[in-house]
Amino acid sequence: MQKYFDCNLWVEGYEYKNGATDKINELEKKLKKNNIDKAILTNKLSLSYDWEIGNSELIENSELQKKENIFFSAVIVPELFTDKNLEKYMKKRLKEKARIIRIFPKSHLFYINDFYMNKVYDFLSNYRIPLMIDLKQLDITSNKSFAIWDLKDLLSRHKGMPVIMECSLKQLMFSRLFYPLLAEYENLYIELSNLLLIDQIEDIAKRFGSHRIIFGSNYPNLDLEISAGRLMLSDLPEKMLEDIAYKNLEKILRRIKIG
Amino acid sequence: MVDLDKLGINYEKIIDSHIHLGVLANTYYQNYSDKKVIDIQKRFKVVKSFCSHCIAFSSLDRQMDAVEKASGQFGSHLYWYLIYNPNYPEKSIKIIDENKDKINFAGVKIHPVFHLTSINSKKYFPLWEYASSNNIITLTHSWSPDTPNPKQHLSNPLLLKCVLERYGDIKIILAHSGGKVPFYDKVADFGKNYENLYYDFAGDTLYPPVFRKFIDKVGADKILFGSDMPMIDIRYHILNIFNAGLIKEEREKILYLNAIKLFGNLDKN
Repeated sequence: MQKYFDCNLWVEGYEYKNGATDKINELEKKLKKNNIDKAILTNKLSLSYDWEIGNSELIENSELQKKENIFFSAVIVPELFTDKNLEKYMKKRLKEKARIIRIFPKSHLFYINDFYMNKVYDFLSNYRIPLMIDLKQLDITSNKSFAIWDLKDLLSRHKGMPVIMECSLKQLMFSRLFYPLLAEYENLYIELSNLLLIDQIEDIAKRFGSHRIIFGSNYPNLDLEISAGRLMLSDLPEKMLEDIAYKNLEKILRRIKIG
Repeated sequence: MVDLDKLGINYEKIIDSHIHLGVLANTYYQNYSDKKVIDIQKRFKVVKSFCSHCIAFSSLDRQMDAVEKASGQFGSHLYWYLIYNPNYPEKSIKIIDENKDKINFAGVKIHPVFHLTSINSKKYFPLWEYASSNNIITLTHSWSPDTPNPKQHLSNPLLLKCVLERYGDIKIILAHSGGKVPFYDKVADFGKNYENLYYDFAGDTLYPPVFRKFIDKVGADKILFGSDMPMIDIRYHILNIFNAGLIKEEREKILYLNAIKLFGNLDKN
């Protein structure tokens, strides 16, 4: 049975507060049922309220820290560079098993390529820490007019930083935007939860290589059974499925200079 | 060959009541072909696909050529919804009337958003009259008005109230059943009042609990399996229904029995 490494699992951090072992057991059971061997959790609060309160609430949870199969993402904003010691902060978070950095420039109102953020990307690039971004966050006008030039700028200036692109606005994955980006930038990866179009996962794997696709469930926005099951119903070779489901993300994370 | 059994997915067949052939201008179909769509349908045991051709949304004149070509290629696998464009009511009815007995005709498809015409507009009344007189099923795009795309308010299924009260005998399938999770309750409650409404959950909202929600309110006999292929890969919708916690009898009704009952003899042509 195929096992998965999920890069995109959202939780309400407060539900997992220390001592909430029932809730943690429930999560583990859910992961086990769907063969999710490892998962990277993001706190919804980091997006909807305060990036750092959300990060701390989840990442510093001592019960979750003990779970070998649980990792975290840290959501960041530009003031990480001005208000905190970037290097100290990032090293602490890495030590606490944060493995992906996420940004939401539209929701948190900042420019993806501002002076501060470029300093952060320089750091991520040096340490080979992956950045995850939702294409929807580059839809500045909310009318599907995307700041693709800004994404291109980021990808070309920070080649050492793997960029995992997800898309929570499903229709955008039908677009003509991301194939040319995949062709142009080797450091760009696609998270698969919204690749809904006919044979789309298979086509990207065949065209750009299965190493460019990362498994993410986008749970609870999408059922774990559906995102994991879609891959199982693919006719891609076993080796490709294994890479997409697990090994690609593992490989990216293994390259992070944690020390 | 994909092994459905390893996911605990077991079924005899599917009748997909909502697919398309052809493309949409704003969508990037990689190496699109009609064959690719039908091959995947068949691989997942779809025995009949009920289809409208996308070219007809923008050009009624090209519709029948496209239908005939695909019918020639795929024969009795395909059943057709012909498009009614409310901006060309007479022309639309003429095409439907002249061709319905020559093809595997399933019914009429309307798309209030594509045609920028509210679902309760008088421009649809020639269709309702025609459907009522000829016992013709209509499949309509339906969506929540509460979405970022303001045009979707045109397809709010709750606006059909005046139509259903005036034409109580016509059968309408609400494609997508309103499309958005927070809107499903309102649509299902609305549906309790109308015996001739049917529902599919085709499209990009994958939400297994929707099946139970609608079964409890309108009954399992009113729900059809729809995928919206090729925009949404059918595999997602197979997983959607198989994770809905239905009993086998309910699932079989939705997968194919309800379509047989609604559309009648499917191999008449």
